[in-house]
Amino acid sequence: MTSYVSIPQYSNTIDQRYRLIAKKCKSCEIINFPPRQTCLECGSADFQNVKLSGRGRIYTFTIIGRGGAPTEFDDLQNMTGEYAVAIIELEEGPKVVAQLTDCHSNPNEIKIGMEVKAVIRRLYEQERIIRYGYKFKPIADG
Amino acid sequence: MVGIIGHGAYIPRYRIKAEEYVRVWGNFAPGIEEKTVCGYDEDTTTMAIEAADNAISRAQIDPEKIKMVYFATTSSPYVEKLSSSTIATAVGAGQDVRTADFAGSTKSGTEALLACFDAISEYGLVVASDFPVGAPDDDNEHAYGAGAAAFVIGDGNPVVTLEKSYSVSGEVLGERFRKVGEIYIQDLGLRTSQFPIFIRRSLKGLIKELGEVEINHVILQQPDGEAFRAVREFKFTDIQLRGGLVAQTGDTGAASVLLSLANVLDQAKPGERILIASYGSGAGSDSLSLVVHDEVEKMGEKPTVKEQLEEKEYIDYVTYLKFRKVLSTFGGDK
Repeated sequence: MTSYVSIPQYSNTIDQRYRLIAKKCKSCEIINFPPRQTCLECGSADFQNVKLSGRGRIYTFTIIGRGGAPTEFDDLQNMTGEYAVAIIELEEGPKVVAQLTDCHSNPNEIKIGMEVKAVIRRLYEQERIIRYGYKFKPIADG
Repeated sequence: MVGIIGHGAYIPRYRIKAEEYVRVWGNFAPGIEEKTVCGYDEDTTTMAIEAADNAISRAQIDPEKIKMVYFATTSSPYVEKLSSSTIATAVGAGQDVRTADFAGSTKSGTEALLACFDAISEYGLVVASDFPVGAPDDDNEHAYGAGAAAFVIGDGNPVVTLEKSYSVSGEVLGERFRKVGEIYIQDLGLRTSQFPIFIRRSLKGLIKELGEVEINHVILQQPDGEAFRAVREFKFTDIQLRGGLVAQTGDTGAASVLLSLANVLDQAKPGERILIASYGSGAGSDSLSLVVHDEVEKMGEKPTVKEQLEEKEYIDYVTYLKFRKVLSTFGGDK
């Protein structure tokens, strides 16, 4: 079994997944990312789109070991071993859950507070369609 | 004046050494010390997006002003479905854009570049990205490496202008081909490679049109480390040929010459002239001469090709097969 995200549902999130387009609340100015129907802070539904820089820090993280992955990531885990999932605190404020990438041999060197930047990668495939989206990779000397 | 106003490159983090191939198979492609490898979650489209982002920020333009996105590869994740549109969306090029995928040849990078120069309106983005796919038990597979290069073309104060180009073509059979429905590149190994002949023909045609001029850099298609043998009669020096990257990346297919061009532009000086000769089996070759302008010294800072080559992690052959999804019965799709 795979947790299912339909193509229309996925297509509706392309701007956030490919370009980190967030919703800035026009009444309280809080940036909502991933975008929401109503503002997390004040409940307003009046937003403007803003593009996030993709830079942030690791707020916290966990290592997903064998058998711990959601099924759409089974193949990733089989082919690459343990991988890290983090909560990233973006420089514009919002916190977002995402995979870390390009730390194949050293998931144990990941530290809270490390600087990361967003990159577009293949998240998984479903219905033979490649689902691209953001992951974060540690910035060298960050 | 129309020209390149910003360039960018992307080289993935992973490397496999020639010694590791020799350990497993007993041999490796000549003249390659190590090659660049995509991570499990990368493909030619993701590499293209990162190279394009680097080129756009170096050009210091608003991506919404890009009106053309031309993508070149021999190994698109889809045989049918535009990858250039994925790239255009990801870099924020807006929706009123002419997108095109150039495929099916290792010279598709120069085809896309020339096509963009021919038809430029406002800003154009040309991206070449490749990681050719061979059968694990075919020697031709050994050399295939990964990388991407991107160029923003526009009218304004260019870093580099296209001076002249010269192309040649002819029917050549049995070299580097992939039939419909096949995954792996084939080569009948007839030992009658037309590579040197076509490269020489197109370079000769170009140099004849240029007349007596100073040539500072020569970039050749590099399927392996022996490409320089094809141009011996021109007596190019090692210094002229130093921009080639095959020893560190392997054969990056449609990205080969444009990734080397990005490397040369990282270090080029105003007034220098760059010659490029690409090759695509079947067969054809495009030669281009480019001239570097003063703006090369005012470009925005971005990771250079050399810096990206230094940022690396070595993997063993089994990890390579896993990253390539050769050992995955699902091929990543579940």
